[in-house]
Amino acid sequence: MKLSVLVLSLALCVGCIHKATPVTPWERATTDNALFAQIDNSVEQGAESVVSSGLVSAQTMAPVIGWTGQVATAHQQITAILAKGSSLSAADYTTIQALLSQIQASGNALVNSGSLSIKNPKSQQTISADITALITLGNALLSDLTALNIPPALQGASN
Amino acid sequence: MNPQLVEEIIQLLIAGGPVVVDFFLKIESLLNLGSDAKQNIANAIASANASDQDTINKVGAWMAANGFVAKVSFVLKPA
Repeated sequence: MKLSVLVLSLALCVGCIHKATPVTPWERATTDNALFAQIDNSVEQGAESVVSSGLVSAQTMAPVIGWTGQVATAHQQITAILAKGSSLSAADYTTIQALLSQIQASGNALVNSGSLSIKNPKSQQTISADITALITLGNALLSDLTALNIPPALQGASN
Repeated sequence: MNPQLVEEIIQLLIAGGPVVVDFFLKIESLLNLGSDAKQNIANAIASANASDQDTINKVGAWMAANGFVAKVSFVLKPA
């Protein structure tokens, strides 16, 4: 089993976010959101690493590295929305959904380009699998947000 | 945690070396929350912002170093 799969299993498993008191829906959403950014960062570093080691050309990895930058830019918008906390609206949810949908569509297109079967030394699985894991985590984040019951009530909002 | 999962994680850490250990420790720190929910949320938001900014900076530097035009300013627009 590869590390990112393990990480995703940990993130998606209710008992695997360690805390003495129950984890609130907001904690879960923001933790998965942070995990999303960390995995995107690891894909970028891994893609750079395979170019540095001479395993693939910069030309081949440029779309992947560029994509991680675009994802990070879009994800900053998602994080800014989440940072609003209890003032999160249904429109905010729709915006996040649309941003994640576009990340997923562009990520799937990248995976389907078929040239990403090289292993990411950072995660010990292929770049393609990393991107798929990131897409899966995006879906998990949406599920987290759905659990917040937007609108009308925002459960557990404390920031 | 499932003992088999622990064993698999240990094997991955051994096989992957320092770079994987660093990655794993960052992930583990994200998944270990303190008792203060408000602080946990603030930490998670800060962590996400730091990771995204680091990614954007690295992409910009790599693109410039390799003669590509960086498109990190491109923003995905909501539908």
